Amino acid sequence: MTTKIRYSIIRVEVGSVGEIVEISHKLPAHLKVCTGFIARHTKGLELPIDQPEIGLLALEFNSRKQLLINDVIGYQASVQEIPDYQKVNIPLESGQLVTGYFMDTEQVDAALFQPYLISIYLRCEMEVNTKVEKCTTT
Amino acid sequence: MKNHKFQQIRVQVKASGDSVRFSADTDKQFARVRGIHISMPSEQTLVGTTLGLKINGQEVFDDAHEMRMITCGNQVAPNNKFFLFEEFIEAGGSAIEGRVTDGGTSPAGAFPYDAKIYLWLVNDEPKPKE
Repeated sequence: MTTKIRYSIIRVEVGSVGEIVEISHKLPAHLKVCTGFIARHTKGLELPIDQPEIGLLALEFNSRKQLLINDVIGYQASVQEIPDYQKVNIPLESGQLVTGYFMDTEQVDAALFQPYLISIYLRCEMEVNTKVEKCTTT
Repeated sequence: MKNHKFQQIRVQVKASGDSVRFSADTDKQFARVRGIHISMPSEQTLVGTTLGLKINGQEVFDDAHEMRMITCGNQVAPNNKFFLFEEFIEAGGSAIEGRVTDGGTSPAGAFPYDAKIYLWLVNDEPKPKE
């Protein structure tokens, strides 16, 4: 039996205060549907407490045809629960781009800014599964 | 007959940024791998560290998959610490191949350390039909 779930990882490097980073990521052609999404700060910031917002994320699928994900990205000072994927059901056209932007909204002085990394995980499947829940994002 | 087992795989990381390949076999007495948990010596060693994993030749995580996305802190109840696989991952003596890559954020004094990978093996569900 073969596994059909693949995680497509998009990394976004933020290097300055208020920076808007464009995202353009080509998904492998064998992925047919995106069934889950999660985005987290994964490296760079070392803050003593959690922050509910460090930036805003927007993602479009199938080469800018559908804007389907908007998310507020926060900061966790320590590892807590296992990240829970947002369930989505986005049919993927073969070999198309995932595009969008991440905008830093962390309100700190430029002198105190620490460059950081955001990781976006797309849980995709190589076959369309009819049992997947409907997309709940807008 | 036991229905559950936590199989531990230890991977020693000797220096910052090291990328260490490992291999093992799942216990033959269990049918499937239900989940995975990774225990690191400190949260700092978890930052940016990645785990690639193949079981029975099938890709579970590619080499760039961050450990932070599949593990949790100490405050979580024991059985909830595992990242559960949604697919049937065959155990029964399957070959495990993987790669741990250190995130490069730990101080020099943190090395060497052991990344402990726990696989939750079970016998509770029959193999689904192809």
